[in-house]
Amino acid sequence: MAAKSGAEINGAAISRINLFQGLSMDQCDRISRVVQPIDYAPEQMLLEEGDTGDTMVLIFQGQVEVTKRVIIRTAAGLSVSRKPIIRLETTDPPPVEPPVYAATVHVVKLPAFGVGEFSLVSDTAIRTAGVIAMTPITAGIIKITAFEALAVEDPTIAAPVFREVARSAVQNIAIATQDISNLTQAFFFALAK
Amino acid sequence: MEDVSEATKNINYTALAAEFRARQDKLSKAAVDLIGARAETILKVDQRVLADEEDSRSRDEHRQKKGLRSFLALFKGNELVRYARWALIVLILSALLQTVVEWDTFSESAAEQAGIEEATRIETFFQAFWWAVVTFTTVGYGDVSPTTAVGKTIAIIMMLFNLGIVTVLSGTIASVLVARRLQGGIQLDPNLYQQHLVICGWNDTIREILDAIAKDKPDNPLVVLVNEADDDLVKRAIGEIAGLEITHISGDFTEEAVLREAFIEKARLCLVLPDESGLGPGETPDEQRTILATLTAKGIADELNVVAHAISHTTVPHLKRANANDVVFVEPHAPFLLANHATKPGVPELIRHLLETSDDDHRLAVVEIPEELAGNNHEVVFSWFRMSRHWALLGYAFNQAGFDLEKQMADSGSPLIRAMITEQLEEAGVKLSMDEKIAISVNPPDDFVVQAGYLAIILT
Repeated sequence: MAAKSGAEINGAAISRINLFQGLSMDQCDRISRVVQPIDYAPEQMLLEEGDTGDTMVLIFQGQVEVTKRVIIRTAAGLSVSRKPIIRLETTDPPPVEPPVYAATVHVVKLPAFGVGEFSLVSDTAIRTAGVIAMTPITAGIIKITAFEALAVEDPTIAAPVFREVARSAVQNIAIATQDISNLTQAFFFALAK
Repeated sequence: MEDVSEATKNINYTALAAEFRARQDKLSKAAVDLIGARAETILKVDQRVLADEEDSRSRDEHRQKKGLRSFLALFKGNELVRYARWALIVLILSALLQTVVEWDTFSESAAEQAGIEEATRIETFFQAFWWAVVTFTTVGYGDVSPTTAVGKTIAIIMMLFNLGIVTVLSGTIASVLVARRLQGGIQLDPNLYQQHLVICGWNDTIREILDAIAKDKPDNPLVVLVNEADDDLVKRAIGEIAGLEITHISGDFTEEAVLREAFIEKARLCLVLPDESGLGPGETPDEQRTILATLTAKGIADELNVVAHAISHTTVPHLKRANANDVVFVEPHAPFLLANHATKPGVPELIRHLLETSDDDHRLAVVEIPEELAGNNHEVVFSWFRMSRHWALLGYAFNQAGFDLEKQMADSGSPLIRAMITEQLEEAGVKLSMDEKIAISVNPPDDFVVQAGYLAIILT
């Protein structure tokens, strides 16, 4: 179980999150006040793929692995397997201990980062991937309702954040389109044999 | 018609003939590759235009070189020769040592035999050498033998060496003989066997196939037959076919080691035929062996052109799955031929006429199209062939580009999905690329544009 953290989250920590980099320190301070601190132990799930969620997780310290479920064929038949896609790691501050398993995928290092950012736009957004802690994680949770209330209060908070979310969404759509094209080709290829 | 006269006007016929000869290499390869597609369309290169005296001369030279090279290869790679060399060194060394140590003994016996007072150095050395050989071969006449203690010690050392060398030498002689026997007495020269034709399996059609190939005078005359039929039977059935150099490898053609002996990885084409060797009357060939041989051949060399002959329609999909480049299955044409006897008399006769290669006047063939004609439409090219060669241009054969899924995907989309696609397809035994293959276009519309590199399918 994730534990409520005693750690204080301040504006400086918020400003290191990639999504909030366009905001002023004052705006970051205001966001920090609605963020609920939380800690995760290694191997704990932060987000489960396929769930709907109305919260975004801000990771201030630690390393997580992003995974996707894929159907694979094994000797026993078809089965669902969780495949790692990428690992994300904070650099400011770096994780307190090394990851529980060595990485088999690329590790992207950022000062701090957020996951589940689509939940800031829609409270029925489906988690497109699973996120699992690889080291002890110091994080914070922000609810869509809290963020919307902030945006009503100060509309200039919303614009840079939504732009980042939109950019990420556009990238995902482009990759998904290519994936569909690759899968279609593979499908016809397999049929032609 | 204006276009045609313009096209023909600009073409120098002598230059074209020279060009034809220069492209002979390419043409012959295309022709033999296309033999596999015989059931659909018999495509043949008209090599009569190309064959000349120069060809037969170069073939003779090639044969002489082959003989010399295989003779040298026998000595280079033979274990027997290596051990024999060692034995000779030991003999000469012992003889030299004994000559020095036992000078008196050997000079005396040499002088005695020659009826002279004193033997020469050579006579003495010969006596010592004679003693060494007699001892080495364990014959031991005892007519000459060392008398001093040092000489006897040398003899002991030599005899001990001899034990090892003689054992290894006789073992090697036996193993070389057994190996040659297992290989059907054949060891092919790897330098020679490149771009050759390999025929796996044995049945009555082989003679006809070889005759048809010989008639087209292939550029590379080397053919390797791989089957378990008796060597004498094969020799009797095939005999000598002018223009082809046929070798028989006796062994199971579904085995990798046997196919590698035929240097299959360097062959230009491998034909897999329904194997009838060892079958009794009324028994049918086991087509699973055809599939297995195709799988093995493709496993050894993926890029090898493998054409398999299927007798039963159920074998065809399996052969395709085994990645055979083409499957020849003649049976489906039977209903068509029978029906045509009823509805379109003349058509079955025409097809038979074209399939039979004995008629030199009217044959199907594939020839290169002069470069100057590339880019013109079918009407122009058709007229050119008709006017300049008196051939009927039936259509075109061209290479259909291959397709590589991994190349196509490159680095688009997510790596996870790409890895999943390749992993899963490979696991399911689906090849990630499709080979380049020959496609044909028969009687295209007049405005069909003839591209460079197309081959013309003609009726002579």
